[in-house]
Amino acid sequence: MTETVKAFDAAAARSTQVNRRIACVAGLLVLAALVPFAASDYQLRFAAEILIVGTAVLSLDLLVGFGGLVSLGHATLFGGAAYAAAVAARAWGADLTLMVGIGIVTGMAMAFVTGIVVMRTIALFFLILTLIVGQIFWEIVFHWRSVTGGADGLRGLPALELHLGFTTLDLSSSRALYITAAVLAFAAWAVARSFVNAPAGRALIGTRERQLRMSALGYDIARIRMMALLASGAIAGAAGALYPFVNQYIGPNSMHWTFSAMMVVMLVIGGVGSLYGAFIGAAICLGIQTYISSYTDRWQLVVGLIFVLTVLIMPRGIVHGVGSLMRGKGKP
Amino acid sequence: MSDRPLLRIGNVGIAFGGLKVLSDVSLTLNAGEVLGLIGPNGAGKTTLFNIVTGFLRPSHGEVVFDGQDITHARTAQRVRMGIVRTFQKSMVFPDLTVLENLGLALRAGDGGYAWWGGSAVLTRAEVRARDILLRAGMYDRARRPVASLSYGEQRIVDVLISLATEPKLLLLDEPTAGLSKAEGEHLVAVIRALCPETSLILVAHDLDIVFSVCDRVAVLDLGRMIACDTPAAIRAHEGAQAAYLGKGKEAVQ
Amino acid sequence: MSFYLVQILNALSFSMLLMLTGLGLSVVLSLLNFVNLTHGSSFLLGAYVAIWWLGSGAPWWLAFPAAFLAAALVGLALERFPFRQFYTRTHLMQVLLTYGLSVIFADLMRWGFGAQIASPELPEILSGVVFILDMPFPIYRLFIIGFGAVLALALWFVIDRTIWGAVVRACVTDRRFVETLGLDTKRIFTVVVAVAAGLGGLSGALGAGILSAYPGLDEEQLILALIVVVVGGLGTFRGTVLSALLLGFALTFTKVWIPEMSNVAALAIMALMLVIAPQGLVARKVRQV
Repeated sequence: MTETVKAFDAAAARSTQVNRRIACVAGLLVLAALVPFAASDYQLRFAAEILIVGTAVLSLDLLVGFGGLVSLGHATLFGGAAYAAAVAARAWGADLTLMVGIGIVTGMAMAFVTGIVVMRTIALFFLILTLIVGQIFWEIVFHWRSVTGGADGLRGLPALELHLGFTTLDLSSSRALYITAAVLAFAAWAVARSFVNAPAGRALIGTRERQLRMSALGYDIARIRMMALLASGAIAGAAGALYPFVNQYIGPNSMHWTFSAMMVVMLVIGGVGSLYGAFIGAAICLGIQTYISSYTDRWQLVVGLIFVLTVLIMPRGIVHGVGSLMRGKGKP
Repeated sequence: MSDRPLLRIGNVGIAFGGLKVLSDVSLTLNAGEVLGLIGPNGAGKTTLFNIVTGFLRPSHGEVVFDGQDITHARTAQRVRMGIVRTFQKSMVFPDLTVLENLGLALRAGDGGYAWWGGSAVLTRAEVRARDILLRAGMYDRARRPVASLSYGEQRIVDVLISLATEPKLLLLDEPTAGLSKAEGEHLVAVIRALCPETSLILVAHDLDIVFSVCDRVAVLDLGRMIACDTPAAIRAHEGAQAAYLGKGKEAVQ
Repeated sequence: MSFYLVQILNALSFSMLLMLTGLGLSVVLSLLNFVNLTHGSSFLLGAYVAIWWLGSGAPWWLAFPAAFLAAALVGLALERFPFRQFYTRTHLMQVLLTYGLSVIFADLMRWGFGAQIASPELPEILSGVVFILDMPFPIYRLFIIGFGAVLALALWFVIDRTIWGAVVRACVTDRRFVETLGLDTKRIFTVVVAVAAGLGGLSGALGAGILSAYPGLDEEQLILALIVVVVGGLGTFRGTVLSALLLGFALTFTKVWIPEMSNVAALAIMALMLVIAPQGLVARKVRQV
């Protein structure tokens, strides 16, 4: 009797939890859909940037949150795909399908190269090796002036458009860009979620928690990690392909390791392992950068302080941190 | 049961730097047999496990399993052939549920790397995992995170993870460490009930358990095999007494 | 011939800087398992302090102890709070904390010392060139080689031959064992972190003469030091020295042969080293199971 009651309670609790989650997602979607009606052109472009960078951070969460692999070279995948898309756009025009396709392929190819180099290393060695590989890519882009524009980057891209069989949609307006970014972000979130819940994603969690046990069960650790890198590279690449069209510009800073570090910071502020937290982290960090830099020259100081305070006060991310503060638990 | 041994270890030796950890160890194990492996700390028991499961390569000697030379095979290949091990330290996945723990093991050979969806793989694994839990008497724990279980239950889950793949040979590295006598016996009973056909190599400090469940007992000391015989013979064996049982017979009884 | 001799000396002087910077980072990493990304800030702080000191008219040779002390004091304060709370936390959290701190320090130094490139006014005895087989070579670089070699030897002596070094080495192997001997490991850690930061500052002071000081130098040096430490292998003096030499020579000679792609080539060499030896050039064997 009591057992069934308990089971029933548990089932009810689970279903309210599921309901609440569905309500959350639905609420966010409605909110995202309302933005174009309320925001200015500038704000829409900024929102699109948040969604695009957030998508890249989400792909980083696959590695950090689920694989326990802290990469300091993630911006390379994102920025590399952005450069590939920008160069292709100047040559063949900026068709959305082509851009995203090129972005995904570039992201995966660069993830594959990184993977081959870093596959056998873990922990600190992984961190440093991803950093080195990322900086190699950065150096190449920085010095390959004829193609990448070197330190100046690339400007003057054609307008983004989507060729459908019967018509061509112009996506160069702020509103269209925002909607494109929102669709991309949602698709990326769905793909990442499905990866995490697929056998490969569960195996990735297994390698994070007990690597030795996983090899004793016959899993090929390197193969699992490579798959995670490829999935992550595909998502980061898709996001990177849109990035040049936000400001009609792409520069080498988008591939630098400091941007990778920034992504890690965004991820931690938003909450590691939550996937959706990536967007919250991106919004907070980019928001701070943009708004504080218009008030003071010392904005980097403020940004640094916020990183440090986050780690000190809410190391599990702002959603979790605010939640536990409101419940009066203080420290997690 | 064929008379061909399931596992044959021939003159295996390994050294780390100048330190000989194993020298010329030979051992055969028949299908379905339960072999106890005892010896003082540092005798080389875990090293022998590492060599049989492919975590280490011996400097000389050979390992033959099921008629095939596997001395240089990778761990994953050996698992596919049916050699699985547990670890001295508990190696459960603490944040995952009991079902997921078993699921990881069950998918290792089949569909474990599926990218998208893979829901058929997940369901198949879950059905089998539930079956295992039912037979192990832990069905009501299925949805609990392993970290929330008692230590004794965690040790059982630890062994179940390895048993889930239905290995031909299971190497158990001190599965009863830290358990009470009753818990230890329960664990061994669960193993025998779930996999009566599986051959076991059991490392344990609790000699009661070793002598009561093993068909034969091998004694390692300082990297050498000094005896391998029936429990009764080992009790009487002088070398074994000196190396391990030496201090007093109360340890044996 | 003489051209290559000069390049070898160039590489040696740069390797010395890399080694000194790397040693500070390495000892903190292996002793405390703590990733300290503020090490580049120590370097830059030391450089600025030395430049300021050399311009102030005080005895020039005191610039180096001054840089050491300044960086060590900052390190001491940081160790008390917040480093100490993070020794047992994950690398991810350590990276975040110290990266945030390094961003703060970078901005503070930009505020205090300006955003322009600052170069030291070297004393007469260290400026100028000597002729080596008819090729001019800056005296200052010879000074770095000499100073660095002496300092490295002294450090090696302290770590390898004195009771203090033995205690630190014992802490690297097993912290709790040292505690059972009745030694206060907390105090040992404080001293080690302060000295490591001081070494970073001292390297910066030495390096200012050839690299100058500017915003961004902290990051560049941090990356190089991280690479040196990791490629060398954690917790080995010998490994750090070897990999500093490797990186110094790689950077110098690729600049001679393929100036455009020199960083790519040098980084690729270091990455290759890590692929071949994932635990570093000199690795400690660790039991896995």
